[in-house]
Amino acid sequence: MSRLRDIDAVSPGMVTVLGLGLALLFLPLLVIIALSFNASPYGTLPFQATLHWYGTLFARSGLLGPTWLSLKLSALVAASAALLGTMGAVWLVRRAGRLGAVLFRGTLLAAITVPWLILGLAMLLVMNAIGLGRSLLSIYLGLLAISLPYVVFIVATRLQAIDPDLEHAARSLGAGALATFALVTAPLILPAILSGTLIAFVMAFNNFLIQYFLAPFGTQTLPLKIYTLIRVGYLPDLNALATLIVATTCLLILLLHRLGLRNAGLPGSTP
Amino acid sequence: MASRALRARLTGILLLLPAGLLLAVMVLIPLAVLVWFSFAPEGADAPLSLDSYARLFATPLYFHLAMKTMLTAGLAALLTAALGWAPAWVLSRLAPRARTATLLAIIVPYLTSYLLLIYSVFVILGPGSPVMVTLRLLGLAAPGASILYTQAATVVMLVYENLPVMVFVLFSGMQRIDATLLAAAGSLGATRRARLRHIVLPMAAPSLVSGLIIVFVPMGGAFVEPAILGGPNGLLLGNVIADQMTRADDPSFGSVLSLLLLLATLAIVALLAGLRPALHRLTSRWSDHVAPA
Amino acid sequence: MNAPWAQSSLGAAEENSGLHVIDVHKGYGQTAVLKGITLHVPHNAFHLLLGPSGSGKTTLLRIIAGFTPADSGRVTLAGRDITAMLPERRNIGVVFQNYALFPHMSVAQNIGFGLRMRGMARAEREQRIRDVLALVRMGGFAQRMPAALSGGQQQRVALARALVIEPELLLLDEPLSALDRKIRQEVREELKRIQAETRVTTVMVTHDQEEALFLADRVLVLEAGVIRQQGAPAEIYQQPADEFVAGFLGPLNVVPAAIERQADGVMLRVGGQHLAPTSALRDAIAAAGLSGPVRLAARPEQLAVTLATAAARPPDALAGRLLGIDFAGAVVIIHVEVEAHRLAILALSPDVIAGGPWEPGRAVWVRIRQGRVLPGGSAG
Repeated sequence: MSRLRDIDAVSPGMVTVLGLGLALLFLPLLVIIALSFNASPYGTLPFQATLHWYGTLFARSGLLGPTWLSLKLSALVAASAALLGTMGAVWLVRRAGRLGAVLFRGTLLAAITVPWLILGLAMLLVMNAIGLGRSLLSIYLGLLAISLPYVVFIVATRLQAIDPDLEHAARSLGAGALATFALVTAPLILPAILSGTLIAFVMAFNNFLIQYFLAPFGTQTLPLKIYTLIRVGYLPDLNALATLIVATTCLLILLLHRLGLRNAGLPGSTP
Repeated sequence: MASRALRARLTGILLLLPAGLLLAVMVLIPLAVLVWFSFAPEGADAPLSLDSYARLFATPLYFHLAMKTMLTAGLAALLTAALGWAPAWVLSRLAPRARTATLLAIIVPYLTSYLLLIYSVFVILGPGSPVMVTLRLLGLAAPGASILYTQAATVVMLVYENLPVMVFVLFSGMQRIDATLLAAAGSLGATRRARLRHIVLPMAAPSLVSGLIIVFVPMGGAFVEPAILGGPNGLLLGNVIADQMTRADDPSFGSVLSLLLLLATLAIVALLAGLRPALHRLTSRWSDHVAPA
Repeated sequence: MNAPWAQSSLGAAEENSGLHVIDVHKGYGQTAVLKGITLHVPHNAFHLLLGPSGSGKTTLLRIIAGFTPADSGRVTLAGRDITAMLPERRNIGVVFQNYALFPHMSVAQNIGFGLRMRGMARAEREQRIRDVLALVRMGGFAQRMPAALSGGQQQRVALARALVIEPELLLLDEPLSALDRKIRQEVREELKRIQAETRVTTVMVTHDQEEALFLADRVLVLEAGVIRQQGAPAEIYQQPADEFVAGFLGPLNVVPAAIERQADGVMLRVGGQHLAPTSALRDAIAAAGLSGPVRLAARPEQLAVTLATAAARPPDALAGRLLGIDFAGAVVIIHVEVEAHRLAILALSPDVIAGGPWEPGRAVWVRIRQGRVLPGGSAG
């Protein structure tokens, strides 16, 4: 006879399924993190704990330069995306006509759904045609175009949720249009702007294809550097860098969560 | 009053201008140029012609490649859904705190550079890697064996990369299935299987289709995965497009192939979107039977 | 009958005071929302715009506040033409339906916002905030955030924020609709007290006729973009201009009847029964100046009902049949049928409970103590 269970309860079997799924998801990263503390330069067992590779990473690894370039580039892209994206979102929610809104949204969606391989190559064609070619400016513009949509969508979602009467109230109390934006609207959408900026930063930092097609030959961002090194196989200092990056990502996610992940526009991030 | 309206219009234009200009130069014009170049095999200044298309239709190889690419991406998308379904369902049944914590954890690989993910899979699948060593010690793999440089490695990588997204999308649909619905179905005599088929499946079907579409599109445009993991016979359409555009310096034919990839992807997406009502019919057939004729 | 909504002749002094809305039209696309609204709210008055949703009352409020432009017409406030003025220059305090308190500012910051915009010094600002918080009985809440307040408290803060700028005009947009019934009555009385204390010229919008009758010194009934009637609450309730106004202000019984003039006076015929009107009803018939088919309109409390006895039907009562009784505490609603028309009659509970066996089906006599006589229309 089968035992009666609470119909809503999460059974041990279900927890196991979830645990297996998570293990599958994290196994590769966890292995890399573990190996970054392993003394063997070829990733072989037995495990011997060391911080040697972190020293190598900072002392004489070719990885720091590309990492630094990627950080600077992504920060610039994210800051620009924050400004342009917020302006675009305000336009979209408060000013756009129906046709304008559809066109703007459609173009933003295209920027993040057309495979980046195709978009990156098409951008290269245009950059070549207007004389920019492969250049830092081209990468900057390309990365900005594919990270801008995240800011616009996240900020627009938040703007739409703001009661327009708040702005009306400020106006009736004597605040002009600019003062109303600065004192009422901006503080309310600030968490969304920050979330959007963080996501834009991550997208710009991680995107490989746009960088691959638009980077000047010889210029190496971190993804480009990893791409050239990956065939070499095992890289203990890359393990160390990966560990640091994953740790930073975790911090970023906690930060996003504090900012209200509901606004972050990540799929399924509305529990 | 007129100046007020004029100023409002000006403000609107100024707000949109920077973003609009950027999107025009970096998204709309490039996509238009792609179409234009596909008709300009002799370069931008020469008269337009259909030569590049003629070349495409004269070479069955490219259609085979497109087919192979779509099949690989389709297989990977289905595997992703199969692997993501159960964890997403459990996630949707968890208490809010545990659910949020798990979601946050799943975002980690989603926000980690996918080149690092590729590298990590590369390492754990390599012949001397801990995973392969463990498998060998368990007698499950031959010494020196690895699936690296095979089509299978590409599929594994694509699935791994897109699993978090799939779980998010499935979860967001499943969380709307209220526990009281299942309880109600149970009280009406539905077994676990019947509840799955008549409640969970129809209600989660739209997000399943969305999930398949969302992961399929980037999979179809895969470039790095086959280039690094796929081996000599594992190249997909994306690799050939990049090759035509850069190394072979034939942007016209590259554009034709890009459009082929876009169209093929769109066709599959349309097919999947069309699947939604069919899926709905399939799962609701039972209720059609009891409805009065 | 006088037309209360007609433009009264304005003296020169009156012309410059209070709020004037003059022939305002507003449409969205093909739909006309306001069709020529003209109204005057004198200085210090409390006027109420009453109407069902979609009547255009909120649109009118937004035009007065400057949130949306009128298609045509003018708005003046204290002698200034404000039709094209930006909202921030109008000095009109607005209390919104959902209060619209700035969620990222404390109560004090919310209330001080308008004073800051006017460049007032900090010390004076704080004094004003204290005073207005005392006025709305919210002293001690200055440092709270809006989210930590109950609905009724948020309502008071919103009112304080609108009052502290000493507005020329206070606009209230359904300020009570988001509150529980019990708190609503409490806040309603507060509102009346505060308006009486500050004497600020006030226009409030509502769809709740009970609020309107309780609060305002003048009610304007709006429907489909036109003002149907305006007047003192009691006047509008007792002498509604038409069936819409009458029905909107409270339950109404309408019975088709015919006026027949006989040698010894006026008689009413309802179906097959003749009825000698009461003196109040006779006056109403005379005022209406109608004859032939009409409709009698009476509120539940304007009817009276007794159980029929073995005696003949009195000439001033109609014979009917009891359908049932709804018990509502102090009062009861008695449902009867007269000549195939259902009527609802209000009575005090003790009168009914002590009065004998009120069982469905019993014969009853219904008297029309007061009522209005409306043109007959299609009924016979």
